[in-house]
Amino acid sequence: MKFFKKNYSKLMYIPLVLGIIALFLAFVYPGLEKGIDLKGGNQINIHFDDQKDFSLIEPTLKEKFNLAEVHISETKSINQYGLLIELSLQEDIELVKEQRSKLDYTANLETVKEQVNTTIVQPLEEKGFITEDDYLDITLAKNIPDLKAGVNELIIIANNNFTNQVTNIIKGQLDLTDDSKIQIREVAPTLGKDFVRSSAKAGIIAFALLVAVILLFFREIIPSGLIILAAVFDVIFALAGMAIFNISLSLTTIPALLMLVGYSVDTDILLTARVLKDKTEGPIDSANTSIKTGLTMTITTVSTVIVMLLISYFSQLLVVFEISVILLCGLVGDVISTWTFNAPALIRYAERKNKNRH
Amino acid sequence: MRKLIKKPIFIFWIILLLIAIIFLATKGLSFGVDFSGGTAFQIVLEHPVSSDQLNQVKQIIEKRIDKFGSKDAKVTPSGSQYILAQFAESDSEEVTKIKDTILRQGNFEAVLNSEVLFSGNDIKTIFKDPSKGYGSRLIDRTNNVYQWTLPFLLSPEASQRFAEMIFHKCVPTGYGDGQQEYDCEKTYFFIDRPKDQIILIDSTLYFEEKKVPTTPELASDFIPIEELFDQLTVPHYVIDQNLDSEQLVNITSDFNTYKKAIVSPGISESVKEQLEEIGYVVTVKEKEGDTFWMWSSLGLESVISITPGVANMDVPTIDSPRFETFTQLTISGQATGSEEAKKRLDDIDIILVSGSLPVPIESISTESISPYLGRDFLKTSLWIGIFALLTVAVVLFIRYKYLKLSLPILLTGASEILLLLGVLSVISFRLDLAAVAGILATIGVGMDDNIIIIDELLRGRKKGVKEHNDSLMKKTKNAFFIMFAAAATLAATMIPIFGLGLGKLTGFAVTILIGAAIGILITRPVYALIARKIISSDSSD
Repeated sequence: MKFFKKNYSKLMYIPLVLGIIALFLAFVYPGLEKGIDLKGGNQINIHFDDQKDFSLIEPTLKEKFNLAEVHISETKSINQYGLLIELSLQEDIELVKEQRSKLDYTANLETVKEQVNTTIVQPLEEKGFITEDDYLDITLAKNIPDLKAGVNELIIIANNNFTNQVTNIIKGQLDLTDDSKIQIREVAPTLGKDFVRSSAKAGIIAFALLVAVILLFFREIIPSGLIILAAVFDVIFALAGMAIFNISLSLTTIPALLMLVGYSVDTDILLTARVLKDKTEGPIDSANTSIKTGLTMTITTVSTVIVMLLISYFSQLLVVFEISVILLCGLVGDVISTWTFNAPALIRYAERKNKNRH
Repeated sequence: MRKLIKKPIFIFWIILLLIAIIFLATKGLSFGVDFSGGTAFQIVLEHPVSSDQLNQVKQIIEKRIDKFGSKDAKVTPSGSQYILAQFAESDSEEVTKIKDTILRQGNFEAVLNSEVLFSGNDIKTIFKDPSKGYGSRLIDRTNNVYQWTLPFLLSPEASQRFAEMIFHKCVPTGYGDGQQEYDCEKTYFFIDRPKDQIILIDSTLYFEEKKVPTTPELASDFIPIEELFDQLTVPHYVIDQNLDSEQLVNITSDFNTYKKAIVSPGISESVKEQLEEIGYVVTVKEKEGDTFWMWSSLGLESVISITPGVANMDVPTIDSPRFETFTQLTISGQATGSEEAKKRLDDIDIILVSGSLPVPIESISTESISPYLGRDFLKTSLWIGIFALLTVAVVLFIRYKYLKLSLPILLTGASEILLLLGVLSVISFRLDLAAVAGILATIGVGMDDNIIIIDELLRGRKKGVKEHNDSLMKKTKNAFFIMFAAAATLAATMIPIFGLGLGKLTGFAVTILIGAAIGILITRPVYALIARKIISSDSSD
């Protein structure tokens, strides 16, 4: 059975249609979300052996703290239950942070202290995020730099105490003991912003390097361009998958997307090398032998990814689970992009090149 | 088969495998907080700094975490404004305490008889310049003794005060080597010396630490405990089970001046309740590891003797025209071995600046994992690895039905993981979840490459046998072209992850890159060699 026949060009409608759908899914609806890694916030992940009642956690947290979002999801597997609780940033502390940026540190010490006291210390103390002990440094500050450092400290401490209070409420609600299986993450929004910037930079550099490497190996513009387009398609497909399965952009998913690029161009490289370099067969025949090897590769990888996916799902190993979903979607995208887009386009290119030579 | 064993790459492979096994067996792997449980802080500084400054911040943070005893802390700077700190503690209250300690500005003081000689604010510069005397040098070759010296500059007012305060603080003890010898008083370096707290120590601990060593752990040189208490301006009490009536009266009247109390762990609950009744905020200071309680609870950092030179011993009075004040001072000491000397030097350096970080901290992000969850993660990761390899074996067998070719894939695949783990062991890399994901990806890449090798070699096998064998070499080359291109693209996408402040994810990129390198340079050539032998001997049958 041969996959590529005379009318191979028609295959290219498939990636065109699917690509548009994937773009819609990834960027319009349901769209991608930024995880707490990138926007800041708290995430608490708890595993336990018996089912627990968590219905009161959300109302309690919302009542006690000024939170825009509290998102709780329950996961179940054969012998374990899990809760994933995600909180958006605490609005009162964010408000204080805004006030901090408005402080005028050029004024004299006493004036600034007064300002700090009314706009920062008092609101935080009223909400119970700090005690007198915590702002001793501010009261005692002898100069502006010390005061400034004290204010920064205080806000971090307030955040700290907020996280602790939240954790204690959750632990109390779920009746957790000291040896519970718990993971607590707290990401500062500034760090999140830095991560966004770094990730964008990493993405751009990776793309530039990828283009350079592919051009270096194949030294022909059109085939290299096709490989790169196919890689972009894979990423779009993976993004669509993330949007469908509600996996947010985060510090684990962004590198996974990068790796996916390196992973999925394997088959495109294989195809291009065989079609362009093997002169014993015609382009269609070369593509037909390549698809066998390529699909074997993809199927092997997909089966390992499915193993990862299943085990990580049942043991609630979130990081690995998210990576598996991305890889799986990306690899499905790769089958489409390599064999219904890259291959037909490359065959046409090779045939034209051969014709010109004769 | 015998021919195969003689190939250099094959021998190389076996040797490397042995080395990897030896390292894994003796040194083993170290695990990050994801698996061992613990906490990771991602610290962001207010603005980017030079690598020297970043390193200093790193050392200060390390020291501040060390105060909590041995937490197996690892602090790594990344980029130009990030610091990643990992340590084995996941209890949220303890973590908060550590966070507070990292954040709070410490207050350095050099103290003599409870009076401050100079404080952190008085130190203008620490000279890191060997021409000013900074560094360590060998002074006793036979015993490998090094003298280390740290020069620093005091503000003019502080140096005047310092010179007056230590004037004639040495006592002549006799002559040696034709020179007058002196016994000088000691100065005490504190960070955050208690100022608004009274101190209560239980009598058992008091007698245990009656003689306090001049270094945090045991040393040959001791100072009486009371001399150390004399360095404080706050009252202290030695408590025998309960407060006696006199102590109760004094402590009650102390409350007019002091509102807080530091107590040793041996102080009974009833005493603590009494204190709280008076109104004190009571803090129990635990003993930290092997460090003496008197060191850690009072914030003592170092004990340094005055040198006769700066004490103006040869000048009769302060008003004498020959009285000298020194703005540049040096702290020096002796240590065995150059590394130890360097460590002492760095320690003192950090103590002097530990009052303040050279650049403020903007934010600290936290991730804590309880050890119980970490253990689950590790178990799961192992299962995934094992099942992934088995799945690959099954799929390959179904596809090729050629056991002879599939088995070596498993063998070289497993050896690749072993080599990768070996490298991670050699570089003392802390294995975390990101690294495990990278290892799993390495398995996947390896399998893909081996499939390319098999398919290239099997291609056109039905043509004449001779022609087929001749072209096996060329086919291997084709396969390697594809693999190199694939590995290069993978590297292209992973390299940018380094150096962008994504510290937490380097494990992912590190394992993938090392795995790809091992694959391309060692295990794939080995597999190609084995596969070529199998195919050519099968075809000639």
